[in-house]
Amino acid sequence: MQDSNMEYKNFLRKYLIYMIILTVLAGGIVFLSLKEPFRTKIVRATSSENFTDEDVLTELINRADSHNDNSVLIIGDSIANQLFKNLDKDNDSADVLTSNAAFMITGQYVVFKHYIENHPECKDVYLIMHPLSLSRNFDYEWSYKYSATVLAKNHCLEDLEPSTRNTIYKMYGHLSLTGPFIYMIQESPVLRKLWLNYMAMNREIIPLSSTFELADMYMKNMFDICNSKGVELHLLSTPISMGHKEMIENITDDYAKSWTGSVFPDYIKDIYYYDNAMTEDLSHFSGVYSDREHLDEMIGCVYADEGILLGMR
Amino acid sequence: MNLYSVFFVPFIFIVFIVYYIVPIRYRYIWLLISSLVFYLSNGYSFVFGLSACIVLTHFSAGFISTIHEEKRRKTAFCIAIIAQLILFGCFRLASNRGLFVQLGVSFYSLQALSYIIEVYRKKYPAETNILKVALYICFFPTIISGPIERPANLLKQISEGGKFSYSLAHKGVYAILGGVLLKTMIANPINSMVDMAYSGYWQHTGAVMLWATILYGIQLFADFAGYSMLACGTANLLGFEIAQNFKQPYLAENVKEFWDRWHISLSKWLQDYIYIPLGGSRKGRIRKAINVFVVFMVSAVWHGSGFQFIVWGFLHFLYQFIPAKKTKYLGVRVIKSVACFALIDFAWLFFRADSLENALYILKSIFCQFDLKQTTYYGSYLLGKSKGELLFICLCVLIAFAVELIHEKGITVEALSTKIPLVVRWTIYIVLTLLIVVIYLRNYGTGGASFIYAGF
Repeated sequence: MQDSNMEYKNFLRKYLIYMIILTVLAGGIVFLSLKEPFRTKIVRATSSENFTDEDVLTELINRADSHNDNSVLIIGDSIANQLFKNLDKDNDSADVLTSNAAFMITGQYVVFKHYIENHPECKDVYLIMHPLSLSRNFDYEWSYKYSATVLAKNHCLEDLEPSTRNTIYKMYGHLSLTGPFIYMIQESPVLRKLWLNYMAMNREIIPLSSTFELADMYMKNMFDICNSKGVELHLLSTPISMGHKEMIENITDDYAKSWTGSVFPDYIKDIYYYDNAMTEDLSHFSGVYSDREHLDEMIGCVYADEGILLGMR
Repeated sequence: MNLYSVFFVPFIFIVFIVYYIVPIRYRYIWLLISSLVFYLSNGYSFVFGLSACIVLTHFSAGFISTIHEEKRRKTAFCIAIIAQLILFGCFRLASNRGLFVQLGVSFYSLQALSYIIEVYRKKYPAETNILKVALYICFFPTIISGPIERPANLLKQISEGGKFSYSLAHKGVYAILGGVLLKTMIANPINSMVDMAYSGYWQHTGAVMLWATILYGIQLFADFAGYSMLACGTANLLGFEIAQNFKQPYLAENVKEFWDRWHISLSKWLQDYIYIPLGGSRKGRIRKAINVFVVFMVSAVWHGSGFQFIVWGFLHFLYQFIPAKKTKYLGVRVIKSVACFALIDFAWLFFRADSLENALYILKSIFCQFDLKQTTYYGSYLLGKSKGELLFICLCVLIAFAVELIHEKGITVEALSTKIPLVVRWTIYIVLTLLIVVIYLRNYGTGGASFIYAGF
């Protein structure tokens, strides 16, 4: 019996040592992946290159917070971003704060809200989104990285409706939206890879009650704020490839029944469809069609009735 | 949680420490709690299938043991078996349609059936303590993917209480390390390659599909043998010795021998509870052939519901008629082993394909659109990996093969390692652990987190 006890203690000691080594090695890799010079090497060794992109959306919120006398705000998804990016550099009355689809309507709303609070001279707000971006729900692939963490890091979750906050906390967990965790997730591609994949494999998406549930909620908020401040809100669709036409048709009825549909009835009706040959991913313009010259031409075609947007070119 | 998940590392550490603190006569309770936590961490809905199986097994075995009249005893036994099969059938059918998936139901049902049969045959007395029966059925190292245990082995050890044995625990650690290495270094990296080939089979050349099928044979072994090693090693840590499930299967010289080496616990189960009761080889050649056919059809249905599994089972039935003569010449043995692998891998094609139609399409492309030149020119054989990664995988497969050869000679890696100085040994442990962590991180999210056999 005593021998067995001794053997057990001996084994346990080695087991403990091994567990400590394992923890140090695993923790060490994650810790070293936070900063250079090890970051790049560890990212390569662990094949985490796809998780290295920088946080560019924080800059948008910072720009929305910084005061200027501009009177036009353009926000929207990555297609809007492709069309209007940098056009505000030579324009002294407009700010282009376009982002991407994963920032979702919630992110657009936060940028809008901050902008309106800091820009009393604002007269026109253009929200330019693909209908599939407008109706987007929180997921584990992109929304955590591009929406939830960005908003949490910039203390903007409070700007959202309580029901949306609950959804975000329920899906991603409180801990994953706190300061140190966000810092580590943003800085360590290895940790980001682990966490995003873990969530995608183990958690479930909370479905929307209707296709445009989130869109309705935040469009209504934006509409009310605009009305109270005397700002005109424009909801416009990005140009859409023929390849997406069927998907748009599938949600047309849902849109017509939504609150947004009742206030902005022409949003889907006015969609400009272009040939699939102009895009590789059916969303963004590619090849020669992504040149500035062609994009300006496209703005001219799609937004012929919007003088302000035409003037941006 | 499964035996390969990250959470299993702290889980087994806590289970291990508490297990040996608890007095020996109560250890089975701690193990039962741990097993339930482990199993139900995968989904609370799994409690239905498991509890139904436990209750049915315990009471039917208990009832059978109290009847002395042979006819009544047989009737009770038949009812118990039919009830178990109905339960199993319902859960399997529902699982196949994705309605009410019950993880590990194929494994623990066979284990439960084995207990009822052994009690009926009076080879093992009915256990009066339902908690011990429950632990026998849901013992966490084996519940998800086996090995399929027998009451004479596992239930007996549960009743006696697991005692710590240094040599057994040491053996267990090596088995766990071996299992993790097989899964991390071979099964998981190959998984994404095979998936890529089979999910887009219509766009690959025959050469790529043949290559993917060969890889699948390797992946299946590394995945399932790796799991079995993890299961055995974990049980060893807790003082249990459970059935060996693999014995260098790809070194078999013929398909009959292959089944003595591959998924041994299932082969033995089918042999003891189906083949022999049907008459085995005792009732003439035709009857033997029918019995073998029944066994392989049961095995096929147990593995899956599609027609491709039936074809897989039928192929193995046909393979049984190939003369199995052992040879002492190394060259001939090598040729026979390679030929045996080719036959088995051919059958794996049906096992892996999503449907019989897909399998036939793939076969056609292998025979009619091989196109080796295009495959090598465009590097499509890499199947999403870089050349360096593929070389590393090949190196790992070669090392695993060398280890299999060593095991075939009756030498264990554990025994070899004791000859290495302590410092060198621990350095190897650390390097291997670092390698496991890095490769684990590399493959995380590529779909290899679960085990292939957990899906059956």
